[in-house]
Amino acid sequence: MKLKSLSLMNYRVAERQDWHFEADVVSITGANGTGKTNILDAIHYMCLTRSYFNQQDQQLVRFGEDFFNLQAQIMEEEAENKLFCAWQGGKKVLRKNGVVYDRLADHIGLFPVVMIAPTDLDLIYEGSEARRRFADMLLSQTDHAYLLALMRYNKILQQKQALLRQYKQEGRVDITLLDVLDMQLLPLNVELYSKRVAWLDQYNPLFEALYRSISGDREQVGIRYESSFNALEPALAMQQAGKDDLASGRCSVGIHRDDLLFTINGHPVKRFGSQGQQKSFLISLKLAQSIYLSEVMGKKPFLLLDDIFEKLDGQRVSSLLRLVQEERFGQIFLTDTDKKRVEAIFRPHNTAVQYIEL
Amino acid sequence: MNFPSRLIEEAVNAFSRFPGIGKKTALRLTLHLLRQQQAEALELARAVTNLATNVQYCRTCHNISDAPVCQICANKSRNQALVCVVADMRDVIAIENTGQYNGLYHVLGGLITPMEGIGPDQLKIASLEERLATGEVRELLLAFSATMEGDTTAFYIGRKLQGRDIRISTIARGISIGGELEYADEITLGRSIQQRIPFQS
Repeated sequence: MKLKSLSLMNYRVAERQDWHFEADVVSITGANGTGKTNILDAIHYMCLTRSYFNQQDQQLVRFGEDFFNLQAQIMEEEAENKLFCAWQGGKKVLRKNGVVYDRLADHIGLFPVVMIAPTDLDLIYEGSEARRRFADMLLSQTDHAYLLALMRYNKILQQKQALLRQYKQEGRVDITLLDVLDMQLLPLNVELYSKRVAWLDQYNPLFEALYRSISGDREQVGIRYESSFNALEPALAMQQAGKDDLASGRCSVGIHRDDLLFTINGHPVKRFGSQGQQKSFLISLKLAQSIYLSEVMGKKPFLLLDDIFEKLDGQRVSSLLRLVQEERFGQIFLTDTDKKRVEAIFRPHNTAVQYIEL
Repeated sequence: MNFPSRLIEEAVNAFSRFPGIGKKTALRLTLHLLRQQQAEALELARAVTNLATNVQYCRTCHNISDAPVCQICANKSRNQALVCVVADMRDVIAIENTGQYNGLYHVLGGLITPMEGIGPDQLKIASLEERLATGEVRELLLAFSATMEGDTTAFYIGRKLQGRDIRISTIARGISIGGELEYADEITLGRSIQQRIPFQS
């Protein structure tokens, strides 16, 4: 999978840009505020139909304009894919080779992508939503049924939450209707929960191995899946929560409340990991994502590295490059403020790098 | 938009409240009315007034009707033991157009959508239960859109009628006539396979 060209129009800070990519490693350098990250985010958008930074499409339109569009050309083996995506006035259209998608969800997973950015620290420090999104975006790319089940789950959940709020306000309850919604949520809870469990079983060993090779440390790292269904069967857990949920007006049990606990030597990395360990943790987490995607899908994702070299010490950088040398990753796009630094990193490895300076 | 006349502005505002009509289309419609013979515009006004003041809902099935009981419910040659439950009048029209159905209807007035404040109480579900109490109806055919709201409404009615001696059926779902198999979405196709039917030649 090779990205050959990318055009941006009114996408965030870019007015009009056309890029052509030739190498397996593309370095984009320039001062702060020149739009380096913007290019990576546009690649992310083309692959997953959303910005990496979890922004509404409307906020992605360049200031003072009312639309944006993106075009990309991606080669897969010998086949050429032309992607076009336009947003205007709340409407989003995505075309692949001239054919408009009926459902955007059908596009997700065709062109896998992994991004590593400074904001990833949110994964450690923010609430559980960021970590669920991490897992969901990954699983949605490898398993279309997972994505469809998740979308359906969220829709029914919204209805249930509206109902619980209403019942709390009015003090009047239609148990039959709640039962009917639970009946529809239950099989989705079972499916999504078991898929998350199965994913972590496969993901954890990849992640641990990467952490060891990146950091050179001997700590034991891991991801623990915390779910209301770990201790209780989904049917039972949902049933037991019923009364409390009516009193609180909230839906307290289900995969929308799950969390991933990041641990180092069995303790939360948030409190017990040093800054260096947290950095290694996050990078390994993301690189494991790339390798997981390659293993499951049989194609190597685009790897987007936003401004990571400045903050990594020499040992971690050379571990990372060793993995690149072993061709464990797909096409790499990286940004940095200092072209000389990137040159210095790649020169000794004899890797062909395309340099773009903004 | 600025208008040279208050009268025009009023008319444009009225038209632009219609679904799918924006300000520009509303202005086109308004100017069209002005260009016509006055009698034609007055004819339209009369039709709208009539609609708003005289429309009735059938007291049995709640379909829109000119009389207290609609033509379909009043037609004794139709199968009185079979009732098709639908969301609104458009579904009645769609099913009547098939020419394949000879039972009666029950129009709920929407589908259960808690997010929009539409619960069972806002729909004609209690009235459906009353209607079944006479025992004349032997089968209910649930004909809802294949959406989450349609499913929820169907499940709800199913639950409410549990234990009653009545047959509940639902319209079949699957590949559309003339549709190519390869273009069917996986959920539809998967369901068609799960709920396959004996081959009939």
